[in-house]
Amino acid sequence: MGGAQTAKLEEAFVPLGETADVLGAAGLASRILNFVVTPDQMLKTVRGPCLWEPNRGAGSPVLDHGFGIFFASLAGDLAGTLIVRAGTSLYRHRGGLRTSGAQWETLATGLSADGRPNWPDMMVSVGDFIIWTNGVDRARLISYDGTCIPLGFDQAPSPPEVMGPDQPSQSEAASYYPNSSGYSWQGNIGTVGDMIDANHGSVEAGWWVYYSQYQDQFGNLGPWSRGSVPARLAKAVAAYGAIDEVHGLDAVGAWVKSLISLQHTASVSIDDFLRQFLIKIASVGGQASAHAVGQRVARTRDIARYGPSKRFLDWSPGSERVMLPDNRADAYLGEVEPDYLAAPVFRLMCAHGGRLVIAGIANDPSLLMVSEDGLPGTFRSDLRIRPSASGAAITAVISHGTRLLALTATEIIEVPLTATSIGPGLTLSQGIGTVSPRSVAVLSDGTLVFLNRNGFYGLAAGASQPQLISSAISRRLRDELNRGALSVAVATVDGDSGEYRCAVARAGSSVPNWIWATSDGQNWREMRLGLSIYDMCFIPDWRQYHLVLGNPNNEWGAVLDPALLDKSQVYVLDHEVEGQTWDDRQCVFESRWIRHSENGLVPYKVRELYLGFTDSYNGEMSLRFFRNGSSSPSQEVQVMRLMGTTDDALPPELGPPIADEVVLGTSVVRPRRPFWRKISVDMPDCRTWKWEATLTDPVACELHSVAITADAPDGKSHAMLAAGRTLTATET
Amino acid sequence: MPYLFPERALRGLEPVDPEGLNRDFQPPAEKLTRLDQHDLVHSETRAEAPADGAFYLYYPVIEDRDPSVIAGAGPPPTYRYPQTSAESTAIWNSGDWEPLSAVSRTLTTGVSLLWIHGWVHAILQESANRLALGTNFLSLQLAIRVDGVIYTLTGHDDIGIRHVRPIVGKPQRDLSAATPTPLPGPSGSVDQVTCGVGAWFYPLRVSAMVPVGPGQHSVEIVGKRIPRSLHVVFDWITDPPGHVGIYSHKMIVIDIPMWPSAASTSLSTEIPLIEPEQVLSQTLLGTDRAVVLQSAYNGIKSGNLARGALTHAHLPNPFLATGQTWIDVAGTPARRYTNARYPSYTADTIAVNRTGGVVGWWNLDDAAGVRLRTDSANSSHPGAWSVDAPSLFLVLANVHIVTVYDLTFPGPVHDDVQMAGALAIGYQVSGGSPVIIDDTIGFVSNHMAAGIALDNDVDGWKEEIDIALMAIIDDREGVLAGDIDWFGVYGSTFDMSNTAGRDVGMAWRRGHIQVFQLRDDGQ
Repeated sequence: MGGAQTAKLEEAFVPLGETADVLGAAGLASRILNFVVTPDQMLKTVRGPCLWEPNRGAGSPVLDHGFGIFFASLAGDLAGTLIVRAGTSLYRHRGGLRTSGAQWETLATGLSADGRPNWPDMMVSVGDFIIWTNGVDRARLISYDGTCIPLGFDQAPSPPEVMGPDQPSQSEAASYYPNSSGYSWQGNIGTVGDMIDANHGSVEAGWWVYYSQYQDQFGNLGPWSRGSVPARLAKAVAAYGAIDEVHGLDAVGAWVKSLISLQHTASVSIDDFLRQFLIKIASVGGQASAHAVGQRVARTRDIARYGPSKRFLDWSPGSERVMLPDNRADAYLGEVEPDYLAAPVFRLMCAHGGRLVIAGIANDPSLLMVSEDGLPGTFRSDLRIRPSASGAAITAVISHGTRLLALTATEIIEVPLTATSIGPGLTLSQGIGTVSPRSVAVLSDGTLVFLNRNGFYGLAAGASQPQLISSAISRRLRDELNRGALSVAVATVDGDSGEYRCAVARAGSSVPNWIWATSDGQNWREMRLGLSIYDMCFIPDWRQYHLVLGNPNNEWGAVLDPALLDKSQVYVLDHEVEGQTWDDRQCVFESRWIRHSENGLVPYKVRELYLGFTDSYNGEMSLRFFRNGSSSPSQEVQVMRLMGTTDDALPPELGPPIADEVVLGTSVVRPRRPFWRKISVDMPDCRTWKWEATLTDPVACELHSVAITADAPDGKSHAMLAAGRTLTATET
Repeated sequence: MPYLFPERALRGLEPVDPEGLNRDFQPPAEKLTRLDQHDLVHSETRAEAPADGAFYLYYPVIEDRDPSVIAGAGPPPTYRYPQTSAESTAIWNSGDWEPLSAVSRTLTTGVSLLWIHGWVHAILQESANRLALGTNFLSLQLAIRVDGVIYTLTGHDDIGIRHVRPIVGKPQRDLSAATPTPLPGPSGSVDQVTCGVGAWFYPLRVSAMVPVGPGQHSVEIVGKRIPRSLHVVFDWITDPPGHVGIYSHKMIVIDIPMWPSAASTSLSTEIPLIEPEQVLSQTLLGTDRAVVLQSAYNGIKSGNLARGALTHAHLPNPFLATGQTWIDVAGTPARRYTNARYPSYTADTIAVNRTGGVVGWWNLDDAAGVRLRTDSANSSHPGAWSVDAPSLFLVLANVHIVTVYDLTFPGPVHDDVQMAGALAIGYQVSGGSPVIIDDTIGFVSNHMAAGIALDNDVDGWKEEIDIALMAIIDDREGVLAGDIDWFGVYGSTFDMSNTAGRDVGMAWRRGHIQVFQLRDDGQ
């Protein structure tokens, strides 16, 4: 028996008399291992898992060390897409292709495969894309048809080269029309000033700068290039029809003054000075831009007058170096273009409002960036923020309801986000954060659950303060958790049971192998399935499968296949197929320390334990009993059959037939029956006591209720019921 | 069924209850209504033909018109120009788009992409004396029109477009004078953009990909004549007189549905729930459930798939086979010629020699003798083309004709449209003889006008023209007698001038042919 704090956590007070409380069986337990909760709130021994890709004769496909698994239904729910990252490759599952080894289509290769990753890969679905990142390599964007390209662009193209207007050399100048100032391309660009009329005015000196940026096939934009060398126009003055006075001798030798319009042919109007430019756009090349399908080109207006804002000019398809003639007047340029940032290498992300939010950026871990709506690879320079006032590294980004949350190891910060602005951050919690970005998931009631160094926390929808929701198992977590490996924890919400399931590394392991699950944020179960879990995901379609990318371990004494060393395969939890068993895996129900007096000072004699089951397996469960805090069983192990067919009260012919005993044409299908088993405990002098039930796979059971009878020291007999699931009349 | 997993594998010591059994049977029954890409074998292993209307649909149209020139070596007994009576369509100077007679189709689609190829053999027709002069132009614009909207067209859509050119073309001061004289200054100029194709004889091909919505659509190849200069109306003095005669022409529209056709049918089956107290029997488990499921799954047809269930990766490749080959004549000058004589429109005579004026079609080749034929050394598909499965062949070819000229004339030749060459696509059925496809025959003539040619070497003003060819061989009904050994491009020459001593040659530099063998569309 522990101290006060421990007692609070691990003891259950069952008072005299028949309790009016309805305690779930889970509520009475201190440890529930390898049980799942049924929709009707029974505890059922876990089934499976089974391989996603069964052995069709040539062996089940085996992938390299696993790093991530993700499912999203793309293309309007028509293209269920399962992505796996294993080894140095990114794979897409190809449903019906049964050729051995071909079930996984390779989408990308050459990725970093760190044997001891600090964090699992991360994938999210945004828009109609899946985004993958591992924090080391460039993120990838995956579409429903298997297109896999780098997310956005990490580099800008070379600036455009301005090819015109050309300035003739001094020696060439005589060959050109003098008033053109040597510029040889007439066009529409230039700022007209000092204008009296079209024939007497000037085009002012000005300069223009060009920019270009890459664009991918989905419209994502890269950063703008540096500005080009300016295209310049010198001031030019129109002169039309100037009349020179010409003096000379007339035919008879008289000195005369005549007016001859010699310059008519030399006159120019303002239109003659407006110019067009020619620019050369750099070709697309290199890994940085291999997925560019074109370049957008922007130009300033006349910077001398309108400033340096760049405006959309044109789009140039293709990847070749192109010459682009520009004859667009300033007034006809497009909208002002925002500045864009290069897509960085990052490890954290979430989808929020149709945008991709990224953080955990390499070399800038405190920065959070938000993509354009619908363009997950396009990052505007004004949609970024450092949420933490202290500049702490971001450890998770979460879309929770309408809020965008950024977590650090010790903070929860709400980041206000609109279509055009972001921040400033609003700190919701100081002292509570997370170091497990993949432990974050949202329960069906909107509660956000995440793992902290102190345990699991829940943040209700709209609430500002997270609450510790794992106090019931805090001692287990403190003692048995590899706290150095919290960052590799992965979680998902199982849509079938509604449970939050988080796989963490148990002490002694660096890989998650221990699943903690809760459906109500209070009661916890644990699962140790015999798998090392690299990542988990949930298929939310009608199948409702919880998938694990993992590898068998020898936790339950399994003999491991050397060929699977450091490999991975995809498993379906809670389902099983014939021929795939998990021998020797145990399922354990361990009660809390039960006391019948308020302070546990009064010794009781525990007479009987009643366990309510539903027919589930014609096998046996073993029971052990403990008293007064001792870890040594107080009596021999008792065994108990898990089918009600031998119970006198439930004649065999009224129960479901056992599969091995079925006689076709004779046996009748019947529902499984609830029934009680009475165990004579006869354990005296119990100030506190507990019991532990153990099954070994494949024995299965469904437990729904517990009842206890005990005698008080005064000799009076008291029946105390810690009822589980309330049985209805029809079931009893 | 892949990727459906039971909640429990029934073990010998487990109870057999209706809930468990129903959970075994119901998921595969429900799955029948949700078949998607994950339930299909990838197309790489799929060989069966699609059900009617399920995938691509082909709408070929072929109009075969013999221009009726006289064939034979040397001066023909009577020479003739292409006969106007053989035209399918005459395009006059109306200035408006005119549909070509046969190449229009009205088809009903869903949300589709139309892949359209059109080919015409266009010949300028004018009075004989002007023909002899050969100084006029076809001035034809050709386009694909879908639902009245012009898509791909030859030339520029705005024939009056104003192009500003750099104004450095000539000195603007006369530097030769003692005192440089200012000359007229810079000005914009109106450029005559490429609008109408000009060769006298011109086989032309246009293609387009046009996305369309559900409903009825008209697809046409249309043509119009345009003024030779930027006049707003035709001027009979200076504009092209005569008319353009359209001879053989063809079109194929390939309807590529974006979604499965409306012919898909739902697929479901009745698997009743097992109720308590039912007797476990072969009928309960087998006849009423397992067998029903088995039959339902065995009866799945491609039309049972839900709309959008497939991506391109799951559809069978529309091509049973594809291949291409090319020639590129090396040497200086880089060209090769033949003076094989046009044997007539319908004759399949193959020339035994490239030179010497023998009658027949010569399979174009390069300087090394590599043929422009799909069984050549350059071919990506040198083997035979199997016709075991119904299919439709679409053959596209292009030949870079350097010039059509008089081999006996030492100087440059120009404006002599009566010297002509013919090009065609041919093939050979296994065990048979080469066949020249009549409706692919297209002519090319000497037509380059003096002063327009880019250079002036010993060969004279050269045409340097790309001639496009196209063949459609519809074998969906199995009309071919056997596999096709190869497809190739053939050439020959003829002279309409009846001039003794002339020896017309046709020189080419490059050639290319590509063959698409399209999977039967089930129509």
